Amino acid sequence: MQKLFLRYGSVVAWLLLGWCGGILAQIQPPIDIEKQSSLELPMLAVPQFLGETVDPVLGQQLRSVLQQDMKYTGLFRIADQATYPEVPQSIEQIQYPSWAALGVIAVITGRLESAAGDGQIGLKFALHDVAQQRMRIGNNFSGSKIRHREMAHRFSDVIYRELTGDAGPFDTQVLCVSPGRNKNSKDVVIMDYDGYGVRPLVADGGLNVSPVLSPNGTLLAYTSYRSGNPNLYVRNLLTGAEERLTSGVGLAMAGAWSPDGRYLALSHTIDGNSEIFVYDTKSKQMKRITDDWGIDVSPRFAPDGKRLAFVSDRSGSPQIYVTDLQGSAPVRLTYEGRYNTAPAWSPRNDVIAFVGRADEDRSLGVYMIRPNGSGQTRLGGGGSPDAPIWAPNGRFVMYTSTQGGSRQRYMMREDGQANYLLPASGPACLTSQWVARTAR
Amino acid sequence: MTMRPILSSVTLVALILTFLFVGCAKEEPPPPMAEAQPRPAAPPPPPPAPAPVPAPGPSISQQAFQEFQNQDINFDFDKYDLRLDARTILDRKAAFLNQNSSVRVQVEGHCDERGTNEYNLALGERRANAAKQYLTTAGISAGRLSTISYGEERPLDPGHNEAAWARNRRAHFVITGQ
Repeated sequence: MQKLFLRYGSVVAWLLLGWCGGILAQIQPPIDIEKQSSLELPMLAVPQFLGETVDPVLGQQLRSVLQQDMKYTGLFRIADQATYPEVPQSIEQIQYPSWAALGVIAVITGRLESAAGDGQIGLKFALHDVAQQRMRIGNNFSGSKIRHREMAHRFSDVIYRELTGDAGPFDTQVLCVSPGRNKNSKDVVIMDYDGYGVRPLVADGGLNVSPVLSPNGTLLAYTSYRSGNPNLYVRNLLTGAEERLTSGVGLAMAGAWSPDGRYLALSHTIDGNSEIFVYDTKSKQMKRITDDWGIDVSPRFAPDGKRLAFVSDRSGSPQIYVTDLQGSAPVRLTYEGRYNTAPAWSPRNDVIAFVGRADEDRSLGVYMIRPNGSGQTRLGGGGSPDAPIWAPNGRFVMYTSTQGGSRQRYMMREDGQANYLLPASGPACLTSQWVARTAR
Repeated sequence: MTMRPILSSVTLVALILTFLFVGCAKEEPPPPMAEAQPRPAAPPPPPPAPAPVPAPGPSISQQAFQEFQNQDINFDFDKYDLRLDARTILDRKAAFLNQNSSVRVQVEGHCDERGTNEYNLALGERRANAAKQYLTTAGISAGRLSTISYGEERPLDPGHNEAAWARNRRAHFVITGQ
């Protein structure tokens, strides 16, 4: 495992150089990639907004959201507010030489308009390139004050796209399984990627696990123990209508929806061992995909909707396999280590993340492998990581881990860099899916 | 509730030794239960409340009930095969279930917190099924045994260390009826 990491580590470093090079062409001065530890990242500042004194709490929260998002890109350090040379008096213009002297290469300015009483706010944000001494991009947002975090996340996505060309990961949500109101209960909740705005989806005082949302955010598939057995249910979040997909005495778990939302891949135990099935929501038919004596679980669709990655211990230990939907023999992907589970197929198709265990010290970590089985590499994640999930833009991985003593959420870039602990505003949760923001 | 004759201790020891040598994966049917012989000179056991168990006395039956439910079997990491110590415990549970023929049990399968939730739910199920299969091979009717997996969702020990994890990798037996 270590040899592979050393061999591919240099590849990853060159990829990083190329990627950052793309950004560097846009924001000067060039960064020396050799110093690319978090201490040496270029600095970004978010000084006080115009109009912030009217609602200082709101202003501080908005700037905090922008700072956190920019930090998690892995591209910036946030400059210490105590060192800021000015409070900008205009959105479009700042004292570039003063910021340059501080070593800050990017500044976000803003104006907050908040008419008292009606709960509506107007926001203007702008991103400044200090070296080029100009405003790069700006955006306006308006709406209910309740949605202020969402507005800031949307501007973070604007900045991200401006700098990298990719859609941003910040105006997103995650599905989570959280402790419920009873000692043995677990709820399905959805919340902003940064832990705010928690909203329960299934909270019945019972044990609910393994939730997965359809691509249009309407259907929630999940496993509930309410009948006395872990069965699979699909709930329409708009109408509240619910359908039970499995019965019997075996374990049934939702795996993933196909990209077009028509199929649900799942695992179900019949005849004593868990098998993979695909449920067609149109024909209401179950199609069996695997047939062997071992455990087959955790099916995940490829972005093309034609292949499934899943976990099987048919070889004697849990490994990642790939199969099509036509009944071809599954192909084993992972040959390093005796424990490889929880596959997550990147929406960009180029890589599958999973949890693997190193043979040397039996430590678990988040790994990646290409869908053809090559390039198995450790990305990171100490403690006991679980279920890596991809951001919708395919550039970040979120996972939970106990390395801090209790289960917490972490986020890192697809190359394993910029690995950050995410804030927790509520109880510990197990993240199962990272989605674009659903119905508002 | 009919009174079931108690197996003689010699027969019981013979049965246990048979199971230990043959293992849980044997194909042949279990040895037939010895024909019941009334224990000579034993006083008729008083019916203890609340459980109508044909044991010699209420304290023993309560102890047996508690031991049955309190004693889990444990598994190695990522394994669902039964260790020798697990089979020894299962033999005692089989004996209890033979003595108390109306008792119904749910076998729970559990895992430690490491590894991934979904795989652990499936692994817990295999653990519960392995224990159930051993008991049915020992002659307990399958209709008396249900199984359920809780994966890593209900740890016995909330610690994040080897000792806690070892305790959590278990099958747990709950009497659901009699």
